[in-house]
Amino acid sequence: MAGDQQPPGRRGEWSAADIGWTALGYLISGMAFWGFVGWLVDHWLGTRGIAIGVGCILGAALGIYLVMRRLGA
Amino acid sequence: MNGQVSLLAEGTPHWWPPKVEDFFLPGWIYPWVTKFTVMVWIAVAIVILFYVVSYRNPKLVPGKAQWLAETIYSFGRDGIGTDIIGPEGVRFAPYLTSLLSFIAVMNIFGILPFFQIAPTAHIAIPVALAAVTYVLYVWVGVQKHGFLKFMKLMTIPAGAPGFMLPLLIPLEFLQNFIIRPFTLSVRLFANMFAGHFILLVFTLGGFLLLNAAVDPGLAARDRDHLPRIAGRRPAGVRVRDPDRRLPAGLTRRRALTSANRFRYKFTATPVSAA
Repeated sequence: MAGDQQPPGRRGEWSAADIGWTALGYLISGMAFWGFVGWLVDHWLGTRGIAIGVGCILGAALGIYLVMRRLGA
Repeated sequence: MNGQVSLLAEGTPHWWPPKVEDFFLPGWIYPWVTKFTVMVWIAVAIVILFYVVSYRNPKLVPGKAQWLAETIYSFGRDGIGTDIIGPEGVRFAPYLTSLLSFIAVMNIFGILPFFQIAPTAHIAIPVALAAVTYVLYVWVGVQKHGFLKFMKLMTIPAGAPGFMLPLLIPLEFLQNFIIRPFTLSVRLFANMFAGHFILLVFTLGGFLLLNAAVDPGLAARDRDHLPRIAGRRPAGVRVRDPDRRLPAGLTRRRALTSANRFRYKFTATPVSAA
């Protein structure tokens, strides 16, 4: 069949939607995880929302870093 | 306007507002079998019957049904298996093709009259499919690399400096084990749900808008189309009455040019005062 004549091997390219969802996933996981850690620290130390803010920003920065590592040129 | 029939004129219709009962077929086992369940059964039956019938008597030169089945299988094997997974993806061709056919049949329900919703527009179904696929994914990965190597590949980003790893490992873990199956299932769910949602907005919203516009009493009393809030005109907006006498020197033709119309509309005295 026609499909059998294509050269075998990996395509190696992601579709644009895949890239977008991967980036979204990293950003969400970064902010969710370190934001949650910050929330725990807030409860532990009795600070009111400072640690959660720091955690969210740190998580977003790490998420962007990972997006650049994985998807950047 | 008066000729239009108000659909809500005789009280609220029985289907409004939608209820939880709308998910169930009348007379079926109440909490267990929803319309989605029945549609999934139909989809499974269609997929099984199609492949069994088209492959019951396979020929070297395929007929129409066998050709179609082989084309779908070939797409699942080459287009998904080999191209995305790699040469070893051929092993998963049967699973990928079943999944592909099943999802395709379910999605087509979204445009079939009387069904009009894809079972995949119910988040549970993409989540279940993603869970099955992810268990397979992890299992195959652990088999191939061993547990520790697999976890290392899944959680340690390549090329990151060592001091950042404690910060990055939780993120990679979350992304690869929780967020990715979630986003993959949401992608299917959101596409199908958005289609159904748009359909619903246009039909129900259309009915509501038509009914909101038709109020025979108001239409008979006033012939203007100025905005109304709860049947009343906002304060400060005066009525333009087409039968009103024109100001001296202004013919009707001139009066209706846009600039004049604006002035005419907002400086006119109401006909009752004239």
